[in-house]
Amino acid sequence: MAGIPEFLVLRLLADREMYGYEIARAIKIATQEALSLGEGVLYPALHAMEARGLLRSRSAQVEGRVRVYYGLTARGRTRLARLTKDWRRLSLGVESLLGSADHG
Amino acid sequence: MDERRMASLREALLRIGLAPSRVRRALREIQTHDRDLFDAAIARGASDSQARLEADERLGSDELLIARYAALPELRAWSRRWPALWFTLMPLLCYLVLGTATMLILVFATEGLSDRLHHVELARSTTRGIDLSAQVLFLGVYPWLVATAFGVLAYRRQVSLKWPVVAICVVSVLASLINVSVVLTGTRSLAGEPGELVAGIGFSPESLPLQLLRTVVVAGLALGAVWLVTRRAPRGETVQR
Repeated sequence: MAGIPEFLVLRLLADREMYGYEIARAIKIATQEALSLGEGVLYPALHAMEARGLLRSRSAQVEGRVRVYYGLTARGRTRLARLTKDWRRLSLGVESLLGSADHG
Repeated sequence: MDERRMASLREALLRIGLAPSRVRRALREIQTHDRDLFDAAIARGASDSQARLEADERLGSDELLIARYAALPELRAWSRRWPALWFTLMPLLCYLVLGTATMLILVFATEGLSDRLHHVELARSTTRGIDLSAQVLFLGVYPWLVATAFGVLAYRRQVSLKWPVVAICVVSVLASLINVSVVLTGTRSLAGEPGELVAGIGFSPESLPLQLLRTVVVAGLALGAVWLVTRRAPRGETVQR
C-alpha cells in the first residue's frame, strides 16, 4: 500500500489544481472510501511532496478562507508517469495471478 | 478545532523540529479543512455537536498527524536538522562577519571623510574614548549580542541548549583573544596625521588573566540573558508571532 496516497494525489492533481479538502474528497470518491485514512495526514504528505519538488502551491482567499492550492510540477508529472507504469505492471501481475488461481 | 487543541498541536509540531513557518501553514490548512468538514456536515443537516464529532473523526487524531510529520526530516527547520552546526559554527561566523563588516564601514567612512577629518583637531582623551568604545563594541557588545541571539533562538526553536552554550563559550574565548584598536588620529603627536584611522585586529595571548576575565564577563552576560529569556517566555511561544 506504500506509495498509493502519493500516486492518487499526483493523479488527481494532473487534471487541475486542488486544495487539501478537495483532494481528500476526491480521493474518497475515487476510491469509493476504500482508503479510510484521517484526512489530516494528507497535509504531511502534500508538504513532503512539495519539498521534494513534485508539487507547487499557491495561496488564494476564497469565500473568506485562505486556501492553499496544489498543482503538479514537471518533476511531479515525470514521477506520475513512472508510478502509473509501475502500477499497471503490478496490476497486470496481480490480475494474472488471480486469474490463474481462479482457473486452477 | 478549539484554540487549546491548536496550541497543543502547534507545540508538538515545533517540538519535533518543524520550521515555525511550516507549522503556521500546516495549522492554517488543517483548521480550514476542519471548518470545511464541519460546514459540510451542517449542510447535510447534522447538529453542531454531530458536525463537530464527524469533523474530528474525519480529520483523524493529532498523534497520527504528529507522527507523520515526525517521519519527514525534509520538513524540519535547518536549525533542527543540523543543530550542532547551526548553533555552534553560525554564531562564530556571525561574530566574525559583524566585526569585519563594521571595521570595513569604519575604514570606508574615514576614507570618504578624510578631507573633513584632516581639519578636525581631536583631544587625546577623545581619541582614547573612540578607541575604548570600539573595543567595547567589538570585544564586548558584538560577542554578547551574537551569543545571546543564538542562545535565545535555540531556546525558542526548542533545540537543546548545549549547542548555544558551547557557542557562547567559544565566541567569548575568541573575543577575548582578539585585540582591536581604532585610533582616529586627532593630533600630530599620535601615530599619524590628523583624521587618519589606524585600526588593527590581532591575537594577544600574552595577557592571559585579563583575557580570562573578559571571557568570563562576556560568557556570563550572554548566559545570564539566555537564562532570563528562558524564565520569562515559555518555549515556542514567541516563535509563532
